[in-house]
Amino acid sequence: MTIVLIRSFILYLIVIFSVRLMGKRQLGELQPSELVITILISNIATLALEDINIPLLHGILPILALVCYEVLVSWISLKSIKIRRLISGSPKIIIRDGILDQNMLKTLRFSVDDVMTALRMNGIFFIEDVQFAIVETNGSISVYQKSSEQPATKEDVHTAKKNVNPPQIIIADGKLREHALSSIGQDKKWLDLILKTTDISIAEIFMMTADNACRYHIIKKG
Amino acid sequence: MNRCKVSLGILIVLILLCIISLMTVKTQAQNYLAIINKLEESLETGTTEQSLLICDELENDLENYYNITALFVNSSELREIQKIISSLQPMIVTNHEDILLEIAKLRALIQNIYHEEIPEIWHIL
Repeated sequence: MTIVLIRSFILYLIVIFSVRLMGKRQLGELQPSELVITILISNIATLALEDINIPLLHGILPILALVCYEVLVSWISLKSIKIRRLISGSPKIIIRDGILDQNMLKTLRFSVDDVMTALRMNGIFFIEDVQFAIVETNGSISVYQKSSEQPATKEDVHTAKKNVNPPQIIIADGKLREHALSSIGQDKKWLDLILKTTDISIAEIFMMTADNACRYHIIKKG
Repeated sequence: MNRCKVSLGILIVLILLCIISLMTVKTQAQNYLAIINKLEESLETGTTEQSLLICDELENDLENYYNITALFVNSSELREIQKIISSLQPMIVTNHEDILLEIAKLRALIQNIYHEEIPEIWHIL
């Protein structure tokens, strides 16, 4: 039992290291090769966890090898379009100017229900409103509406204002994040002034956000 | 780019580990087979006491062989070897007729463990 516990901890570290080595791409939507690697790693780790007759190296070695292959192939794909197309394929247009490309749907084995589901998930209920719909290499569908159907922006109604960066978390769970404070262009003096005005200390704050326009929001603990 | 360098480094370490495992299993197998050959010779030409001494050597070296080889090989195969070795001494004492058969089995098991580590096409497929 103790052996299983120790092996599971070692394999946990190896899997975490592997996922970190593969990088943030792995945590978002998966390409086909990334999906295969993820499934393989989990299965290999399970085998080594369940059967203590299998040497731990027989679990660790293939996991690390697969991760290394994936990182190297990703890097090569970055440098070569041909390799990228070979590994990941290329995006395919299925709707052009409101017209469905039936041959492409057949090639991709997409049904009309799949297409309508993807459109509805993008808030679109009429195919004729779509300028382009593209099946990405990870299987998701991206939709670009016709200009007349796109929601109006501030620029369209001439109310566009100066760009403001999104707010940063300055204080989290009673602890100050100095790098976040400097990223919004402020310093400790500004923060002390705010805290004095609101009669609150850093330790009492659950969360404080602020942006570079000096707008802030404080949530107290409790 | 850093990830690529780390991955290349890890791959190189893994390849070296494979080479080390192959060499280790080979060396361990050769050492153990040498003792088994001695035992076989002794059973054919020597005395029972000599055979028992060699059998003791076999048992004493088993732990070392087991511990090192178990890092690279499935331990259920090694347990088979342990089983056979533990049965040898009583067979020597009682002059059992199947003792040479058991030693042949033991030799085959150890050679098999080594051969399965060699990256030949039949083993890969």
